[in-house]
Amino acid sequence: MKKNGCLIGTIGGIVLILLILVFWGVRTYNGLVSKDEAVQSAWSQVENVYQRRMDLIPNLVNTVKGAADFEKSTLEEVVAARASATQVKLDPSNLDEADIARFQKAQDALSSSLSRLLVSVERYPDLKATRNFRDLQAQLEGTENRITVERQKFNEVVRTYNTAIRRFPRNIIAGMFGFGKKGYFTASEGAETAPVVDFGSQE
Amino acid sequence: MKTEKKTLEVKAVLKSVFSFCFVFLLLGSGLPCRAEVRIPPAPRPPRLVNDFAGVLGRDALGVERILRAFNDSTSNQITVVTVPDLGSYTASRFAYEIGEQWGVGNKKYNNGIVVLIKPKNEHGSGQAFIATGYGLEAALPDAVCKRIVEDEMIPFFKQDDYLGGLLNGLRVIMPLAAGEISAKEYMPSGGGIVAVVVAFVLILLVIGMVSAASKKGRGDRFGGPHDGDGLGSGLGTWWLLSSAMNGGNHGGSWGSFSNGSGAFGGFGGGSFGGGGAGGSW
Repeated sequence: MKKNGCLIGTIGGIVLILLILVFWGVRTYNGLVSKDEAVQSAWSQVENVYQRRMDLIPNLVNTVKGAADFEKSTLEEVVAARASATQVKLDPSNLDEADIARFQKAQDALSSSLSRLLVSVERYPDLKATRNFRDLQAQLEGTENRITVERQKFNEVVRTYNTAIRRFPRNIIAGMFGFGKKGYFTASEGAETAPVVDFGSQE
Repeated sequence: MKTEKKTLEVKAVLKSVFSFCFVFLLLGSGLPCRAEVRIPPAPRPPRLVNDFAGVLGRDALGVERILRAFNDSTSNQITVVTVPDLGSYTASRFAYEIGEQWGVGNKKYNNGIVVLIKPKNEHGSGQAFIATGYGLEAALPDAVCKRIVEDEMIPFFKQDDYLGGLLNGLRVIMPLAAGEISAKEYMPSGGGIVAVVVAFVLILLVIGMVSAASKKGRGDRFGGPHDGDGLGSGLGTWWLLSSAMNGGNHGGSWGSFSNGSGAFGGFGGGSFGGGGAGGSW
């Protein structure tokens, strides 16, 4: 009788511990899922603002093309950079370091060819003075600002997520269910030259 | 002998201390002396007009009332910030940081606007920027913000008329944000010099009214018992006049804004995504 009681007690204890573990596991898992979701939604914002820039480029190219003897090579470079940047599409559920680096490289190439284009527009004061171009310029500037902001917000969310998956004991759950480390945007050459679109301020 | 040695030691120590200080001074003078500029913290008690550069003077109160009334009637929060120096920030970044850190606009609709003015002074050229919260990016696209800054505000700012430029900008921003007119309907006043002259006369008129009214309602800061008259109604009349002068194009019931309003409940936690545009002079 006494032995039985002891056994029941032990089993009860083990079951209790298991239950606690399962509950903890479920909670941790769900927490990681919502952090992962936050990363994905921040990513979609990043994609949106880059897409916004892509959408502006045909309009920009057409406007600039109209200017007499505008150097063709600069324009072609932008068009080519846009085309190759369009091809880099990432799987939002992955987004590891290699992915982000690949995406950033393509977009930064576009950024630098765009800023070269805008620098060469400086030599065409007539073009620069048109309403159409000035509106486009405002939109481009705004888009570059948005890109900076959304990249920064993405990095913050990723930092929260990466910290969460690496902390003990949560990292056990993260490892079991394959929550991988996400990549960050880095300040790069392209990112620094991008906001150059600032010449409305020089009068 | 012993004391001499001691004084020598003391002298040596003093010398090293002095040279240390000297090196520090040299280093210090080599560095730029400019104090680091930080984003100002959200004002307490909360207010919408933050004239840190002191270019609006007493009239800041009148603008505050207009913006509070606009907040009460449309829930759109427009905050006006003037700063003497942007430091290492660009105007766009500064305005964005204010919007995001203060949480201008409603958390659900993100309908905040930051109008940032950095007057032309010893710290460099004048800059103005309109930053839009996520929710107002469609109502006030970047190109429109740029036109408002360049066509409506800067002509006044160039003449050191900061109140005039601000009011002239708000005259367009408010109906756009409230959805009373669309971005397409907003066309910059093509009248050029005529429009500027007309607006200038109007502003002289309003300054007269405001100063008369503020003499009457002295001590009435931020919604005292004088709500409904004084500054609020002076500027309200201006709004009526100005919308009449615009042939009803920017129509809207400005009259309702003259009813002033009491306390401002504070910023609502709105978020910004880097939208907006600006210009410099």
